[in-house]
Amino acid sequence: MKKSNLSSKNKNFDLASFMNGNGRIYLMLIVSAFGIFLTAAGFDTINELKYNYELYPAKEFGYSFSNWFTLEYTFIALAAALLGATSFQFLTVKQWGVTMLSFPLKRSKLFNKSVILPVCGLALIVVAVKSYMISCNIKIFGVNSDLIIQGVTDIFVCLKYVLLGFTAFCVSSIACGKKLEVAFGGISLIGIMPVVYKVVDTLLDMYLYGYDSILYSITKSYSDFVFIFNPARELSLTMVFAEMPSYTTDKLVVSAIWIVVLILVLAFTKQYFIKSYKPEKIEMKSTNKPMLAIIGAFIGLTIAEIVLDIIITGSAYNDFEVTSSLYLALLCVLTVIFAFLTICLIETSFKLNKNKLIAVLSPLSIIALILVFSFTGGLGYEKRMPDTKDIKSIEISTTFYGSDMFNTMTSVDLYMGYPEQSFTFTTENDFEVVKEIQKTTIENRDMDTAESISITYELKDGRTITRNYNVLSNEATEKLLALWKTDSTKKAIEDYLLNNKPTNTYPSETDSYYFDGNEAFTWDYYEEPHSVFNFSENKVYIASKQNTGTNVTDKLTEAEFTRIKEAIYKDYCELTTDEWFKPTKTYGAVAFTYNDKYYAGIYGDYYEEDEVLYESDTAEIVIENEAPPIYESTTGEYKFWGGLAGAYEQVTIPVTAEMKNTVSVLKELNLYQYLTDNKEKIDRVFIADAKEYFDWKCNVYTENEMYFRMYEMSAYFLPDSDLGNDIMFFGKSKYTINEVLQEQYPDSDFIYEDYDSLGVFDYTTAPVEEIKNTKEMYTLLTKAHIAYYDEELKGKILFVDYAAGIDTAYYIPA
Amino acid sequence: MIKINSVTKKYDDFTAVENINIEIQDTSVFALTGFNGSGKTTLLNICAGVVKATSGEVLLDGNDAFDNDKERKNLFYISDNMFFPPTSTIKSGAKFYAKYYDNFSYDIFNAILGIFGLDEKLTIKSLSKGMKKQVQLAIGFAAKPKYLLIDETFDGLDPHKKELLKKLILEYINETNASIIIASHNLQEVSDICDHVAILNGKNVILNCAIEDVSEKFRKVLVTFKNEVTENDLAHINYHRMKLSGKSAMIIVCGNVENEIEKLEKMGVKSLESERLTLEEVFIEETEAASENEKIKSIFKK
Repeated sequence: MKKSNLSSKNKNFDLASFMNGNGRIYLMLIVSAFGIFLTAAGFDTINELKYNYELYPAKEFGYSFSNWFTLEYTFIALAAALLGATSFQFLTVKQWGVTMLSFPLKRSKLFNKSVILPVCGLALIVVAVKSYMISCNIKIFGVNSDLIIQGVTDIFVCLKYVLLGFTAFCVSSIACGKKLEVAFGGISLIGIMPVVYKVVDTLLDMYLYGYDSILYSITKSYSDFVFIFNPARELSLTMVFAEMPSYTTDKLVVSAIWIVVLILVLAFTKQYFIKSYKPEKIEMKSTNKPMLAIIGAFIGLTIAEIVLDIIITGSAYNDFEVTSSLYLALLCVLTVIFAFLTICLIETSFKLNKNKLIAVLSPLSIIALILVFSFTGGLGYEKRMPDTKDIKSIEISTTFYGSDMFNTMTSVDLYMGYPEQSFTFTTENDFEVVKEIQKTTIENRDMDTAESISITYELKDGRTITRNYNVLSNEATEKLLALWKTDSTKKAIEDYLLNNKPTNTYPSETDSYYFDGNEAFTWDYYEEPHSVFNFSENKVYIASKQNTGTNVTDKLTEAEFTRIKEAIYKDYCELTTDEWFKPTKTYGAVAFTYNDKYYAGIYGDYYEEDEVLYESDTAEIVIENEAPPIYESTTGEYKFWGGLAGAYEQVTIPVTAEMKNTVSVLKELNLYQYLTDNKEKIDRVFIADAKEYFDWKCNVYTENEMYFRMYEMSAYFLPDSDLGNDIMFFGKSKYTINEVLQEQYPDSDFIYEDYDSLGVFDYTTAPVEEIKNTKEMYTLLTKAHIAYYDEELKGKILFVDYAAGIDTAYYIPA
Repeated sequence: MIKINSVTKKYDDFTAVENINIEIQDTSVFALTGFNGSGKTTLLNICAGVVKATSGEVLLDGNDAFDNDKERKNLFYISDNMFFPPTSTIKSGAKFYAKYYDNFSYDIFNAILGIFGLDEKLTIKSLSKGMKKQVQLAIGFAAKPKYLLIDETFDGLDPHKKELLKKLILEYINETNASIIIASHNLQEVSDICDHVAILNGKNVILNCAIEDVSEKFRKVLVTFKNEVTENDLAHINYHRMKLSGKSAMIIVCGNVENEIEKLEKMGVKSLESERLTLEEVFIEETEAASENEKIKSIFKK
């Protein structure tokens, strides 16, 4: 008899034994922790960590340009899926399953034992990594409710992925018999869950709120496999949830709901495992019919789409015309083939049987179902509209009014702060027009427009029907313009102008930090609309076209101030659409500010020239008023995004020749002189001061660049605009400017043009001492722009995004 | 006591066992036998709580065995192919099981390993089928269960190890008053150590009695009648199988065999010899394997 080392007191660590027990799970958790840390932080931050610790956390929460958050979520779901598969691996090996089930453990305990360690372990890792990052952010940005909400939201999103990956493989392991089937089943469940979610979400949208196109939503989120208008478009698969990268409480709630749903799925699976699970199915062929249907549908459709994508992409080079019917036929055939082959692979048999039939019929039924919905417009629901006689009122809310019309008139506030305007109509004539708009919208869908419209019918019986359309055709917008001059619209404008309060407050103490790491932090501060007419307690400037702003606040009594506001309002109500968009002459502007900040906005510099101190020895320009950019004496830097603050604390109303009431009142109040005191004729041109090219690094963007700045995190959700880059002046005129400057200073290399990491045109190395006369520079630059406009922009609307959010639109007379 | 109460198990359309009723007393070694696919393993799986019976129940000391962790702490199931984690050694394999059984005794485990001559450092993967079975048995006994279920008990064991195992089983019974269910085709070994036997025949139990009663249930009778007899003449005899040839007959009588023999003698016989059947012969008779003899003979004659 050989001597044994085993004894009843043997407690020595045994690696093999450890790995045979929970060791595998622990090991996977450690790897996951490392992976989550890396993906959450972003690989590029590792190097930065060496040099500047504080740079590191600013990259988190998906704020960096790299799309790290997607990688992170994918990794978490993958880690959780592997943990799920590992935890229930015993159910895929007959002898292992029999052994585990013969142990003196209740099935419920066995289930819990398999779930709790991996799920809780991974959840703890997620919470720990994220908490660390939140703490790093707090260290830099200070305690801030937005930051906490964002951090907590991110934790919830990550936990959702933990549960998603784990639950999918848990369900698959318990439902399926063979390892390969479990793998296919788990992958299919992960893939199918977002689709199911999207379908449910879309159906709810359609039936509760009337969003226009179920097909559009489904295909956008998953694939374009039945996107009959252009099947070759956007065939990419979305295997993960489409995450809206903005951090809102909605997202927190949605994630929380997902977590609850997935926990319920786990609870249901547990009950199934306890009461109905049959170990005799282990290692048997395709044991679960619903899983077969899911596998067939997902794997079949997915592979078919990939193959079709390759075929269609290839067809671009060989004139192979892809029609909708051909696409659908190919899709069906390929789906059947791949679904069949998948089950053959699982069953290791080509014999046709019931299982293969289920797997094949499942995706075909889905295709059929979606086609029925698409061709019947959600079974006819989308076209439903109430009878005019039943309507009490209709409310229209549309981005069309918000972005174009208002923006043209009132600059940044209405555009940035209040993207949608609501108008309520109460006359039968208006009802008919609105119904026409809805009908036209349905009939003329243009997938390329970003404008949306929401129509809410309030019926006489108290019910409301809301219909939302996320596209607007030209035909529909024409009809919207027809509604523009109705009494209802005027009332809405009045409400808007008089009743909204400027609730925004700018974070003063930590503002430089806010903008230092990522401007997206501040976005929520500007969502509340504020009205032109609520700038009452502060200052009024009259801005001439000559780029000067005159403070007239002290010259006005409260009654006179009110007269100006009322006159502007009256003009707003009386002007025709053409007069709004195409005034014959613009005299200047009336600018209202609060917090004692005035930057002449529309017609001039951001700040008044006489308040700028110029220190040539240090090559610094210090602005003494509160205007941005904010000069940080400690670091010697100008805070790039400081301009945003001022932009939201003033609003500028252009005064045109057509605004007879305003002009009249201004004349009566002896304020008109400020508008007409022009020494130089520069007609309707918005130009930055030369200083800004150096101090602010010339933050003049093309439109898309501006959007990118504004929605930095959501590059994927850039709203399309009907204002193309071809009418953006700066991208094309920069060379002209450069030429002018080089001509003026031929021996200097101070104009160094480049694009920074944001793609923003950037002058970075100007020797400030060369600029002796900013006025001269200004004139030169202005001429350069005018020259450019003369050639290119006549008769067009010029949309200018100026210096970090100060934007406006101009009509350049033909 | 293990009580198998009207247990039926169906796999879709296939019935593995049907309405099985068996009682296994304490301090008992119960043999469960039957041809391949007769439902032995299914019945053991049900007793071990691995598989749920379609109907009926298995009671361990009066409590349902299925999903009953309390009762199953006293039960250890040595299945035909017990699981060991990949790369595990005998030692780590034992630890894997020991975690689930409070009474697990490494001393007993070590001692049995010693008897079988196994080194704990060997990996399970490197063991032969018989050696694996020895490890499984060692773990099973070390768990000190009140109910020990052993599937394919003697499979892969050499004669020496079989003898050792029989001694271990008997010694374990003596010491612990345990109930052991042995599923095996090895009827000789079974008859050596078991006190009770049940034979499964596809679905049903066709024999369930004490080993010593087996020989009383069947008797092989070689009889020569004075006159020729037909099957009708023997209709009143309770027999299991009969082969008639003129005045001679070979009859396997069953039931109250003494009574049946007396009936035959009353029919007028020249000579009559009766002999007891072994368990193996009973198994063959009961599973109707005997009727296949002629078919087998005819295969090669063709």
